[in-house]
Amino acid sequence: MVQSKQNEKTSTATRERSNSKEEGASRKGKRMSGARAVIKGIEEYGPEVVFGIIGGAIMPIYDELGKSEKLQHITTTHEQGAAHAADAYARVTGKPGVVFATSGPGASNLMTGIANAYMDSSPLVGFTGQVPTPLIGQDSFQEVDVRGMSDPVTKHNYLVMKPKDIPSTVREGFHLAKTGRPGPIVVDLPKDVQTGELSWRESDAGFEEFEGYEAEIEVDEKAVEEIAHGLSAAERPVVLIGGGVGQAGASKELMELVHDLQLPVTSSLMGLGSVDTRDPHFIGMIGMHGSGPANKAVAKSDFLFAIGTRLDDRMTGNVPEFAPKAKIAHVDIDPAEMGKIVQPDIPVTGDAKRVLTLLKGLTEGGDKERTGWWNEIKGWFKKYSPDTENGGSVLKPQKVVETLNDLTDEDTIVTTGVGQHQMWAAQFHDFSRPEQLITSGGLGTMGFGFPAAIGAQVAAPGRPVVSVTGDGSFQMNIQELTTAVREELPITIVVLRNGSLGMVRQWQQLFYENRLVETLIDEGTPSFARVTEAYGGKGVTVAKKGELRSGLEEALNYQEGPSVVECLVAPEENVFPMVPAGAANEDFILGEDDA
Amino acid sequence: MPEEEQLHPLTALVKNESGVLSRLSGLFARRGFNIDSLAVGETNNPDYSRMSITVKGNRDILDQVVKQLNKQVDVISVKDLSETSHVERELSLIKVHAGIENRSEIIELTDIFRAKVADVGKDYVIVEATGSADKVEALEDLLEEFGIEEIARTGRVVLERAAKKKSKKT
Repeated sequence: MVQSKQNEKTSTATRERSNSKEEGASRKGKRMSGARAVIKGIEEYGPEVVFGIIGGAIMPIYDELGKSEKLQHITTTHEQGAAHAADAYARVTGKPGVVFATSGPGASNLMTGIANAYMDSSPLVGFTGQVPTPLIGQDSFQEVDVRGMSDPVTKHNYLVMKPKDIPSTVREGFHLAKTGRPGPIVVDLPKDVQTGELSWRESDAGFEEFEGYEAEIEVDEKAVEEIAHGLSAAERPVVLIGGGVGQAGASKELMELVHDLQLPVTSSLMGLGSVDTRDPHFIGMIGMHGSGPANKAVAKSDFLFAIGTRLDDRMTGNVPEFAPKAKIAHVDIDPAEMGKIVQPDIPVTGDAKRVLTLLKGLTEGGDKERTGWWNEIKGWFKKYSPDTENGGSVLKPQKVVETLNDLTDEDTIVTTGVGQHQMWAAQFHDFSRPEQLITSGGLGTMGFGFPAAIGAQVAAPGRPVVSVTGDGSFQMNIQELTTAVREELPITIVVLRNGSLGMVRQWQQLFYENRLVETLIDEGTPSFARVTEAYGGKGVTVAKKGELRSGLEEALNYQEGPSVVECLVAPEENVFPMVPAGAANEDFILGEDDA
Repeated sequence: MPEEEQLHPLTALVKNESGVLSRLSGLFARRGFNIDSLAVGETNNPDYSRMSITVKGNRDILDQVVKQLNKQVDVISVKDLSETSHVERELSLIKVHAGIENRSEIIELTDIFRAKVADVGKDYVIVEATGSADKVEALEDLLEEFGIEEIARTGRVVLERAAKKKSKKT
């Protein structure tokens, strides 16, 4: 929001500058090809690094990309990898990520990545080549209806039919991606539109007012007062945060509120790191694999302050039994989230930072001890603390994550795929910065983590990047080892190898009478250490608990390229606590015998 | 007790561009919204189209439909006209089986409903009926007895009457 305003200013400045520079030509604008206009648009409004794969219908754009001195391009091995990398790049930098793909299969390969960005509200802009306009609709070679395909998974999309529309479309696309509730944008560009000519006038690329789109919604201050009053008056308040807090840059304001009022705070998977998970006020993650204290506290709470979250089904469990005793205040930037799943008593649409700042002014000095409530929560901590120590020399996956946590600091970025390893990473690793955990929350995309690590490492070259993954997830995009080796990215991949699609196997054990249909995948799965060596990276295998620390250290210290630590973990381990699907959060189970 | 499902007329001003209708009708389908009728046409400003949407559902569902529509970049404004004074019309072309023996009877019915005869053939009459959906359906019911061969309906179009008080709802 504030960002967009600054952009308006910069662009006005640019406009004035270029007018004075090009003088006579300025009125007519600068002649250029559509392809050059795309690149120029990205140079002006987009990131410095873009991801993608070249192909026939996007060659004019790549030809211009090759001439650009401002943009760096990373070629991935599969378009899905490029989309995840650009998504993670956006999450780490806070700038929109950019991905290129050619028409047809190039574009359709992007779709999982775009859907992933959509579900996690990540600002991703995809530029796809399209067959020339006269060939559209004829089932031409490598033609697919990109606009139609991407409709359900984009915040907005474009099929640009005239070169002259490129400047405004590119600018609008970036503006839409990053403002309001961020989300992916797709710009489909027929090849003849890329090769056609246009005049780039600065005024074409600008827009005074964007009709039909409201990036910033004014916060209802009366409702915020109600929240302040509710928080102060409550005996058993709980704060519940989601990814929106970090996206709004409001972590600091959140922690101040939590400290000022001595509030217990829980978080969605996406919110981990926006709240410092090491803070004593943090009571663990909420939801299906949330902590005992968090799920108990929300169930017993009399005032729930949910902010920057869409209260999704993995978080609420059975909705009528979600925070049944609580007055619920729900803050989100997207008006459509109000009442979509949970009907709040106090709905507030707006930016999380704005709301938290307003709250600070209203709650100062409202310190309340709430010893009874905290004692109750501490009791749940004692009762439901996980034990990762027993099991002798057996290598437990939870222990792998714990040890990794010991060996890394808050600079480290952790990415994950989806499944058991993801939940263990969420449960046993500390996060204290919003971009420290990059994970696929909404779509649950197996294979997200490793290409995301590539995007994160490119975005933050100086920071350690670790991809915690499983043997199922890793192989869904293992081909990107090529990219990591080529770009010499020192990513550490920690594979929790349990020989199965573990989360589904866990469900089979618990809810399908242990019929393990098609979930045991070890046969045929290669040695990840040796595969990585073959690609040109470093491979380490850890088979016993005793080798764990040194194995992880060896990989973390390797800086020449990607390294893999293949951990042969106890295959029978499952993720607990667990709220069975459709149950109330409070009715979590703690083990197989509990089901 | 679940609130009764009612029909709610919505009017939306949208950008008159290709792909908009597909995106919005896709939105209804994928969000599971129950749309009773949908009609679109260009407005006096060719940059915009007006969409008349009749939604079936309770208040909560209606609320979500309005919000999800509003969220779309191509949608300029959405208004729920359930509790606002508005004009609602539907046009129906009804091809009725008609020989010489019952033609005049059909024309009489058409007159009573202030409908028009749009075309007459050797063994059929096409009746053009305009009005509220209820009126059009009532005429259809009466014509049924002569044997309706085909029907084409526009779906409801709605327009707000001069707003005395501006409703806060968009």
